[in-house]
Amino acid sequence: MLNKVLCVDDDPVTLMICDIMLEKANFCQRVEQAAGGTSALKYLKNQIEQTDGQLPDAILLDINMPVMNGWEFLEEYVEKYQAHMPDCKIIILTSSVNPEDKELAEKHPDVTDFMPKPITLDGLEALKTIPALRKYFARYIA
Amino acid sequence: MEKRDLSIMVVEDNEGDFVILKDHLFEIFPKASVDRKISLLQAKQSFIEETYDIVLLDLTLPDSVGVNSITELLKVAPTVPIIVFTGYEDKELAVNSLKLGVQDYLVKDEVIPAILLKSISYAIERKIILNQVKSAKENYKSLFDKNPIPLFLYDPVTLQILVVNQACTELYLYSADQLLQMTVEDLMTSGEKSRISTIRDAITVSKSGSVPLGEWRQFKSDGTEIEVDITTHDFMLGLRTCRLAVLKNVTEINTARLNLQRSEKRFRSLVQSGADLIGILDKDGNYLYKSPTITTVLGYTTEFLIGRNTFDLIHEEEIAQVLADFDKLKTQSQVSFKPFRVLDSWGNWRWIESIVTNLLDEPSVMGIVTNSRDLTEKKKQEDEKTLLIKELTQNNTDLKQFSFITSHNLRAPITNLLSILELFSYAGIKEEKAQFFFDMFKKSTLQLDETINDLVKILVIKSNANIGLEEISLTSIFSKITGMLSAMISDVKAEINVDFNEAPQLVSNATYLESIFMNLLTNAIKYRDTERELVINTYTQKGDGCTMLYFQDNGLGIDLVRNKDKIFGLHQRFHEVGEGNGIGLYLIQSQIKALNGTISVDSKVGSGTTFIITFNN
Repeated sequence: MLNKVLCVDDDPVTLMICDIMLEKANFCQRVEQAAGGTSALKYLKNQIEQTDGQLPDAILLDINMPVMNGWEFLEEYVEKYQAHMPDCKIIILTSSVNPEDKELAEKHPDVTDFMPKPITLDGLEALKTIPALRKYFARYIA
Repeated sequence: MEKRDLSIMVVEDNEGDFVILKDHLFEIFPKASVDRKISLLQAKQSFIEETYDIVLLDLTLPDSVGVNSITELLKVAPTVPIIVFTGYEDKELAVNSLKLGVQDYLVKDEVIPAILLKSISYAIERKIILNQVKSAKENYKSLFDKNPIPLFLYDPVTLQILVVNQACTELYLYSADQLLQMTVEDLMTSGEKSRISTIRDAITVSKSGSVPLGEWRQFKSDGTEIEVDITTHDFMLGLRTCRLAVLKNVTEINTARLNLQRSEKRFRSLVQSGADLIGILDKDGNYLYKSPTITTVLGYTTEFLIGRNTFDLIHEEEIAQVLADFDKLKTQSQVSFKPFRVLDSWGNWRWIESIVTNLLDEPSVMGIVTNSRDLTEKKKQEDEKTLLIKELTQNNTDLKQFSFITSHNLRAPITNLLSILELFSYAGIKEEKAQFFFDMFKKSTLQLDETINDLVKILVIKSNANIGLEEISLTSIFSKITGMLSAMISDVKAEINVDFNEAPQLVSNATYLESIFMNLLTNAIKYRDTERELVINTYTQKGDGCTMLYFQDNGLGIDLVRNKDKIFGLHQRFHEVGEGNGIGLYLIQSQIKALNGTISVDSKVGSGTTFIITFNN
């Protein structure tokens, strides 16, 4: 399983659900939460600056958020932080029905996958099988 | 006279008479040549080769006696003067001779040189004059006959036609003989008969002797009508007073003139009463002419505008563009000017559109013709329309945005609810009543999710003009949907007959087609008649440039009389049973429209419903 996943969503209920679902699915050891793009960037900055800081293996990113949306976060992330965490996977998790969002996600070179909400255990199981994440889950290695 | 070498023929069979006559002749004309003939035959034959100044003819010849000799001789020599000799004094014969055309007669016994000289001299001179008169007469006759102007002579009282020329027969297409049987009145159309008396009353008043009778409508022999201008002149035909009619066929001229008048009238009414503003300018843009419509639209009077330069009235923002267009007229005969503003007499700017034609080289115009239209109202309406469209487009964009945000904001908590429900079912519910409420809660949440999803699908269709098209197998799409609904289908024991053989493939959008089949199938199941087993038939048919997809069930049916107009409307439900959200058929119709197709329905309450979807190829 993954070591650390950062969930970025402005909705605290969603963050809570993610937390439980990721744990139930044995997806990762630890879940960190950020209530928006700016909080997430701040968290990453802290981790980099701390001597024992631990950066996430994956970020579950919502698109529609106030102050800084998912795309804006991604822009700054790529610019400032990606170099520190080149192996980190970006997974868009959104209830957006705007087809442009899905299209953008598919085209974006730094987005690993696109998951429509609601987040389900089946959805997470499927996510484990994508090539970029497969190696983290022992039973798929063989 | 003595000096001339006269050539004299003497026709005399009597030797004695000839000798006496010859002596007399040489006495008065010593140098004359005298040629004696002793018979009429001899005399006639001589005229074949010889010419004579005079013939002295004895009327008692061995082969001819009396006036016969004169006629016979004149046949071969009509111009030669003849003096007749008789042996006795026969007055009657003498007078007859003169009538036949001889110049004089002498009685043999009375002839003396003095008389002979006088007679011969007079005869020769008289004949010369007669010949001149005759030739003049013939010339005149030929002038009349061959004249290209149609002419005829008529009796001023009876109007009988007396003489016609060639041109006259060509004008009326009657032969000369036919015309000579007719009166002037016979040539007239019935409408002219009432004023025929003016022809009879025509008397010479003018100095030239001619009286214009004006134009008359007449018939040709073939029945066609012609208009003839007639002028008459006094004329003497021998001793008879008659009138000469000089004719001019003015039919074509009149027709041409009439056409010209009509055409001019038409043109004037077009220019003066049409809606277009017509102006004629000189090469520098000064007004030479303006139509009355210019006064109506721009308020300028003719006095104000004529001579004024048109460019003085054009808005400064457009003047450069107008001058550039005007300049094009140097190389192009016609230029469509871009709309420009013109100051009207009330101080307002009016938008004008002009088509300008260079007719400076056209002799009848010698100007630049401007054909303009007042666009102000049109332009105003267009501006309003553009503004309205802009507002509507903005509203539409705002609404779309609003819809996306709303649906997102609705969807976000629903997705949470769905996740929580999942977590709940993992946690397990111990209490029976709690389980019951949980089930109800789950059902409502799923229903809400379905409604929101359908609404979102519609939003996506409405906002996305370009949809991906591909070659699709109807059978595979339909199997996919029946697979997804297999539980429902086996639950109600539905019989589904599929035949897409006539049109197995369709260029379409798979997602839309799936949604269409999904909706049709679930509808058929939801609104089945529980009294009988559900039978669904779906098949395709090839039409003219289209493919028809039929979807038929034997369910409850829809009351089309009551619901025809709203069947594909948003939020319409037609049954009390089932759990429809009233969006399904609206969604299908939107998707079909997006695929450039149409949907129609045929239904009867109690027997079933057939949907017919037509996809244009």
